[in-house]
Amino acid sequence: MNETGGPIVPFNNRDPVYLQVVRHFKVEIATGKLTAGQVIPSRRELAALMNINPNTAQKAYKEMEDQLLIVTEGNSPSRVTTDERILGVVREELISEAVDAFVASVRLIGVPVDELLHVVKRKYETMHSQHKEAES
Amino acid sequence: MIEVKGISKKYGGKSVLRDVTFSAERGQITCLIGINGVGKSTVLKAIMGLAPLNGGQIRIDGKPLDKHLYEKVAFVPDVITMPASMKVGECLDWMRDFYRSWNPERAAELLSFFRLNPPDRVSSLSKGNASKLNLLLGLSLDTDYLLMDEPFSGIDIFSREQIASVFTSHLIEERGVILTTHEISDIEHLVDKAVLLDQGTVRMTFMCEEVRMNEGKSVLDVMREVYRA
Amino acid sequence: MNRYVKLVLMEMHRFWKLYAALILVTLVSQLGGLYLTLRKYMNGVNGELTLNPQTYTDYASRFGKLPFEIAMSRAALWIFGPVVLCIAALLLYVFLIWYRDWLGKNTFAYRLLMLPTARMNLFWSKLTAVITFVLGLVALQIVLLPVHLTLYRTLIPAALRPAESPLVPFVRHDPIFRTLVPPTFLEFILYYGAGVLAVTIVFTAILLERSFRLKGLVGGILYTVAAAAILVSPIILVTSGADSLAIYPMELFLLELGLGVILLAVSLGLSRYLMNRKITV
Repeated sequence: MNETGGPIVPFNNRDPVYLQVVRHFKVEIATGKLTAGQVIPSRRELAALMNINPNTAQKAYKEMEDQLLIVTEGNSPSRVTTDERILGVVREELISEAVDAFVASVRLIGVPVDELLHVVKRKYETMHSQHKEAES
Repeated sequence: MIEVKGISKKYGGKSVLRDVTFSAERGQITCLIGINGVGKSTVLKAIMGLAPLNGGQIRIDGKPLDKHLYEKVAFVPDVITMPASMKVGECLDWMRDFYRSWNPERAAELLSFFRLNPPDRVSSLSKGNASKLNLLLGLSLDTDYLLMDEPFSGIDIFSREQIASVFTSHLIEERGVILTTHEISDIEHLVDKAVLLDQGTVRMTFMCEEVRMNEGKSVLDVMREVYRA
Repeated sequence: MNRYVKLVLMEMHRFWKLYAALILVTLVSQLGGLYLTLRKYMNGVNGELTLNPQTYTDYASRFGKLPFEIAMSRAALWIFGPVVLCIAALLLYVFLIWYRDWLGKNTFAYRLLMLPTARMNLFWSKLTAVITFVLGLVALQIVLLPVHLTLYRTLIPAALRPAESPLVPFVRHDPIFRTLVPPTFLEFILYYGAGVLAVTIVFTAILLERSFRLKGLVGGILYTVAAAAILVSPIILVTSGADSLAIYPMELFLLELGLGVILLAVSLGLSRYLMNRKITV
């Protein structure tokens, strides 16, 4: 039970919840918030933290174990894998997923690639600096 | 597993349940969703032997209901089930007196989590606190199954959040939970299995994650399709 | 402690305040009323003696003495008022003990019917509570009678009292007390057996109503009327004096006993069925 109310991850209702949890972990790993070998919350803690039911948390952990993202040995807490190859794949996978979605939607407009890259670069830089300002 | 097989129920000639069939497994949250009518509550009451049926049968772990199963299945109705004159603390003592499966540590834990005061009289509780007391009495029994009738209806937002957090905790872990609701949107991501009831019949039963995975639909999307059809 | 005993104690706990009030009313009314009545009588006597100085013996020879039963009948309203009140309250309690758990905002019936115990224990516990409360009030009356007598002896000078203090004849002759405290064991069984049977029949009628609501209400009333008719008909037939039906009182008693036992068994069987299969919250 947690007292904080709202979930820390805004779930959408159209993707499987356990995959959204897995994705959340991938983002954490890709951005370096979770590092190789780091202990992650227990299933129970995760359920409370994310406001999901414990079965879903269990399923997410199983999925992450199957994908070798985390390792659980005996009764000790689960940790992020230390396998650099897998960690590298996570980052690539996230990038390619995001780019795929972007490309799929922007293709409909039919913009030439050079112009598109230019726009992307400009946008990305402004957003980045705004983000920096907001943080400072 | 709780198996509901082809049950039907009439109230004064009017049919409220017709050939309702579904099952609820341990370790899953099964949600009976229906936008109107009294059918949902009746299903839960029928499972608990509180409303006689006109047809069909109910099995709990393969057996028909008997008195011993009240130690294995707990029901949290949407009405206050303790006498108005009792104090909250007396309610807990009373439960401990009558149930072997009563878990006093858990009751104490929930008492402080819900911020209920043992000296308060049941009659003085707000709607939200009365719901919490009901829930406390159900959750503090070490049962395999837990049935809840509209646990979120008619209470304030903070009570809702507190009660919702029960569903994300060890309190329901490994239990089979059946709950009813007419408002799915807030708890969609908590539910494992959805049973859509309409006009006293089951329109559709599905696993929420499978529908999201295979069809990219939310529970609400499926409901729209079913109820509009 | 088994769950039946716990349920009985709970039912008693839930009624004890009202019950204590009934006892208090009885005590105050009977003792106070008798006291006032006796004082009024003595004021009359003493007033008369002030005008015509004489002894109590002279007064007694002119106006007669005040026997206990006359004193009690002069205080009848105070004595029998609370008895009638208690009987009425307990009659109401026979219904209250069930409907309290269903009606109103708090539906305790849910909890009671979901207890991990035979549902008939609810029935037995409620029946036990009613019987215990009835016997308790009767016991109170039995204890109070000697107290009344003592009060009478204290306030009324010996010269104004008949030689013998007739408590037993009073109980024998007063219609209400004769029923409450029957002179023979057979009558005790008869009266209280009839009482238990009546409560059981009404409980069955209540369960019919709780199971089938309006239809059950009609069924319950019919059941009660039918049961009463079955029990009363032999008495009516015998007292109507039809020669062909001339039977000895003992035979009538045995017939009634047999009918009573059959009705009790039917009521309990029906109640068990309704409790286990048909009752609705």
